Amino acid sequence: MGNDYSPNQREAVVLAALLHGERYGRQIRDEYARRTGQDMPLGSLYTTLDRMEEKGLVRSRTGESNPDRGGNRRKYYKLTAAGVEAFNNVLQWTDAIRGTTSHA
Amino acid sequence: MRKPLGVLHPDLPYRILRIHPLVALRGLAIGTVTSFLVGFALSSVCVYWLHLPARSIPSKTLALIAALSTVAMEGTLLVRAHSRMLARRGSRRSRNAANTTDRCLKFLQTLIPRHNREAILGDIWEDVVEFRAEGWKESHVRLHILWQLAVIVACRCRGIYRLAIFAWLAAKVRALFCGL
Repeated sequence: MGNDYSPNQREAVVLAALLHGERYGRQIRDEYARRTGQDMPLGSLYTTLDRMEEKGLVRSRTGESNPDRGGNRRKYYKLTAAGVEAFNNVLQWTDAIRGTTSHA
Repeated sequence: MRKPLGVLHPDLPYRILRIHPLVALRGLAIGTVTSFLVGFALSSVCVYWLHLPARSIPSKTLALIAALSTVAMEGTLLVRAHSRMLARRGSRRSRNAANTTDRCLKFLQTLIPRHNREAILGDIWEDVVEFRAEGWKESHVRLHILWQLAVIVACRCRGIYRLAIFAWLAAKVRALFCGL
């Protein structure tokens, strides 16, 4: 993954949701909804997470079996260094756009 | 009193829907033919009834409708096959399990990519338990599951490209037969 990778909007929100530590799918989805006001179906979320994992932005681990989930294990995601860097790219872009807007 | 879902199937993710391969193959064949026919019919409608130039027909729309018809056809066959399988089983546990929501969940698990199956099922399960605790109607819970299912299928369907090929092929056959 190159240092100049710019995530798309959905990836950026997911990266932001993971800034404060590892989370599992449902938590990320809830955080996404809180930040954007839009629901993201689980199918889309996991497709996005898979893609981000392929790009090396996040890393996953499988948790313990959980009776509250019918015995299903949670899959936790956390940011990698590349993910943090990508998020910083988003912030830089945002700052750049803000700067442009303020000069306009 | 109705048992909570989590009690019915603690081992749900490990119970792969057992459908005879021939039934699955038949579903696939019928789905493929259906998507082809729907694509063919749609392109004909666009050209002859709506008088659109053949090249202006948005192939994505055709592909999407072809994909939906495939999913609907294959889904119907799978659910029917699964219902028959449950009916054949005699145990009370199996009969108890045969309510619609559980069937949706069971059907769902076959469509989820294996490496994420447990995580997604668990998340949906948490939703279902939460919604039931909040007093949602069972039909609404079912709708929620079906919506998640639809998106998973759509996301999984990188085959949209494959289906676009079907639509393109259908347009070519139409052109062959209709001289366009």
